[in-house]
Amino acid sequence: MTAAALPVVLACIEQVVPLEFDVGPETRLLELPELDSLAIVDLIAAAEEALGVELPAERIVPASLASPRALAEAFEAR
Amino acid sequence: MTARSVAARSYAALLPCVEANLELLLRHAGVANVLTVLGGACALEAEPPDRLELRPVPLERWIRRQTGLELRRTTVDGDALLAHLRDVLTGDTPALVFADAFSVPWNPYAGHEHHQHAFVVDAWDASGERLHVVDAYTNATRYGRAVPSERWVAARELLASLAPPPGRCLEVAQLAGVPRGAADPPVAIVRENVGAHERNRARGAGAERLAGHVGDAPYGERLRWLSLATWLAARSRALHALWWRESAELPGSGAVAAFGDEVVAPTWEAAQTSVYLASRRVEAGRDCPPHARQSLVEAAAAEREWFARMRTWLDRGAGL
Repeated sequence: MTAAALPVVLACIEQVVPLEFDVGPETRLLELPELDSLAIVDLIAAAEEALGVELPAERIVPASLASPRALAEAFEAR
Repeated sequence: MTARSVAARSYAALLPCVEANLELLLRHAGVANVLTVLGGACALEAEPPDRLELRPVPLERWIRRQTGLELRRTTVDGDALLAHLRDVLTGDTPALVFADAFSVPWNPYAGHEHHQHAFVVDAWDASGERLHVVDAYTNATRYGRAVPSERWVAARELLASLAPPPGRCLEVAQLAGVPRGAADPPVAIVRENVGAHERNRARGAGAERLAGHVGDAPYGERLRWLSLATWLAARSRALHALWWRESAELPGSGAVAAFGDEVVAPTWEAAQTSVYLASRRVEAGRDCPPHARQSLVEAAAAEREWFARMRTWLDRGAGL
């Protein structure tokens, strides 16, 4: 199911933090200076809305924000 | 004083708003050891729900000790503010005007949230109608970015915004005196910081207290305060780590400096992100992510280890 969530997460990243380079599934999100705490709030909200599911509170951890793939997996591990 | 001079060699990105503008006053006064004045003192005394001290002594007393300068505060009735500023800006001494960020037109929080703010005024224009304002506050907020800026503002309009009738008061402050060069030696500063850290921990008012304050639902107010407290602590630790790095006269201090840079500052920054995220989730009616508390536990552990390393460094003769 990650294959379904991943493109949505990638699109949300583009929407929330316009970057001058392509973000891939393994891009280290927390190392992007543009992805500050404000942007993380917006990114999770945007992905929740696009995917139609709420990210469970216990999955809001740094590991879930390590990469777009990790975030997609956090949404799907239900 | 210009925006260019604000941006040049400033610590504003590591300071809260009032201190970022106080830095301008210190530099204008010719203070040489600005990093020690603003970033040398470091402690954490937490008394939730509303008290957080990040220095062993209050900042104004610390400034007096390190520079010989005194921050003289005057409370002025809103209507008298302009006359007061005409009096005090006749010399070459800029003034700090304290105000609620909610009513400061160029502040991102204007019209949104109430926070203590301060900005610098340093001149009147030839017409006597406009004031030159400099504001070094640097931050990304949910309402937009604050970046160092300067502007000429219509004085009466500004007063109407800052202190609308009936009769609200504003506080104005200026540095008085001539800065002296000698300050406390770095080893004495470290000794004072470590002593304060150990005392605060012993009485349960150290960083661990912040993690304990997360508590259980409902979280609202506690998380809002913790979000601010963690933001302040993250900036304070990043600045103090910089002080260690730049205090080249501290022999053998490299490992302490590196731990501050590589562990303490990033851990507090991660805690700030986590607590802010939790605060916004709870505000939106969602559950509180348990990691918010864990991130504060981790920040407290990093803090503990950092001060333990400082204690070891002192006990070994401070590298001498």
